[in-house]
Amino acid sequence: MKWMIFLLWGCLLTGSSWAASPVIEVYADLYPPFIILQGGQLSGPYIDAFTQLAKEQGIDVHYQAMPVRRLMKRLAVQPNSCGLAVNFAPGEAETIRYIGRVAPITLAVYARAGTVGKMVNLEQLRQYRVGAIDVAELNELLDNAAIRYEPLAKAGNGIAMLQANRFDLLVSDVLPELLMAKSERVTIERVMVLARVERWLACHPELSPATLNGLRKALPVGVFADSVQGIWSRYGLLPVYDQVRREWGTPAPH
Amino acid sequence: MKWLRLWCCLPLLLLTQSSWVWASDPPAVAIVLKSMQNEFFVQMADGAKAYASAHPEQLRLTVEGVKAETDVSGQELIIRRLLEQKIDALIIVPTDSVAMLPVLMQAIAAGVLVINMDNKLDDRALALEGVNIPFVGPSNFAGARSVGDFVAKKLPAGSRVGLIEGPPGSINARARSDGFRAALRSAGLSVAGIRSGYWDVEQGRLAAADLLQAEPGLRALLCGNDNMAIGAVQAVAAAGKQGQVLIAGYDHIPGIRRYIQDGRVLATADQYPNRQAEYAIELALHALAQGTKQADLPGIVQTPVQLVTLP
Repeated sequence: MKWMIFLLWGCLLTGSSWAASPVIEVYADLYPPFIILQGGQLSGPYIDAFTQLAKEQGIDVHYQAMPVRRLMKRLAVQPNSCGLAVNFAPGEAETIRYIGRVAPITLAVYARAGTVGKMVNLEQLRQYRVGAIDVAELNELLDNAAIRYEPLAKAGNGIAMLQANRFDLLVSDVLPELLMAKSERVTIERVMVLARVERWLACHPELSPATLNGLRKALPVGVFADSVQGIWSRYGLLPVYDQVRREWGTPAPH
Repeated sequence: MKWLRLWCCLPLLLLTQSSWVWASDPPAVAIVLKSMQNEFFVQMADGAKAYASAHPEQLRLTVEGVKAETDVSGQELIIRRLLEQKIDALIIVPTDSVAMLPVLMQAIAAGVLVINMDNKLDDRALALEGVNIPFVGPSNFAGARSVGDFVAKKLPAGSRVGLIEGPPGSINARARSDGFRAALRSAGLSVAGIRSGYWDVEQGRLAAADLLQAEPGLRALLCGNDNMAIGAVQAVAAAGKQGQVLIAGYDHIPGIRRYIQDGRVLATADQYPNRQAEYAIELALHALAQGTKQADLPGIVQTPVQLVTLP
């Protein structure tokens, strides 16, 4: 009989600790090599690092893979939900809250190797067929310069479309150098850097103040805090970690 | 006028109580607006003053504004003066979504409750400061999308359209452009170019003239506010293209109504500036009565926006 009481007591303790620790639903779109699917579960350095940083603030995270367009719509209506590594859009900022920066991204122009020389200004894009990922900050840049482009609903398809000659230039934040095997038949090269912007953690507007404050404390240097250096190392992406820390003016610990 | 219900405001649970009892004097609430030469902000000020007149026991209201839409230093001066006068709450329509943040941080540090209205402060700057400043206002994206959808239906696929937007430092200017873009994209139209008209009639006219010259085949001009749309009407008439280039605005100010009536402007969006002011005041009074801390205020209080066209 005694063991049953201990079991019950144990269950109560476990239950109360669950109740004390807030759990948020986090949606993320695939963004290799930083957010990937492994065994049907979201994984990668962004995911593992954010999980640990949230946990350090007493917040548990439950992940769900979701295409970014659906994700953004869901955030506005689903209480207690967040989107990890989403792009900033002024229109979205009136219905959801951008809580903290997750990582920097480089918006750059890519071409099939040998087809286009190095570029120095946006005007040079005008004479080519351009495909561009659907990011508000990029749309604004291209529209301001009156550059015609085909917006890509799925950013992940951009490199394959460029290799298949669907357009001459791809404007994207995906890093081909981290994705493409050296044996790829059609290699891609960067011909110009356009801008450096950031990906964000964005949440439903009514997220509780305590959880919001915890998440803000978790992300002073995005998913590149001292405590997650080992995660980046485990994925073989320590150079990315070091570069971001230098760029954000907080050199990595050694 | 044809009124299409576009955005139903969220239930304002916080605002269900409309009267409060104060132990001593009612709190001092200040509203700092942008250009008082813009009818939109005159309507907003009138709404706030009407609320205060109807509830004299609830608050002591001060309403101030600047002359130019982008007068950041003018707004800063007003706020510093108000802080010396010991206000309890500050409701701000910022001239710039980032540049106004330092003086607002000073206000918060002085114990003043700060609420953002109409033009949202940039979340990226708020996140870096680690501060919560609630936003009371509409979805400019949704409003602009409805205006853009209406105009796009009148044009053949492939048409080229110009955007005239507010100052680049204003989040609502960019949100409206994003809404216009989304409408154009879904209708198979494209953006021919963007110019800033800085919310102003004359600057809007110059921006429109520039776009008309750069893109002779332009089929429409979508303008981020009604003042710039009035400027666009003048530019289109001067170019002899009246009827060939469709024009839309945003805000539904009194001055745009005759242009809507005679078809020179096809559509606009009403954001009910008077009601925005009421919601923001009630949020401030509720928070002051409850002793709610700045960090614990709600993030966003959505207000309505409606498409306005001829029947």
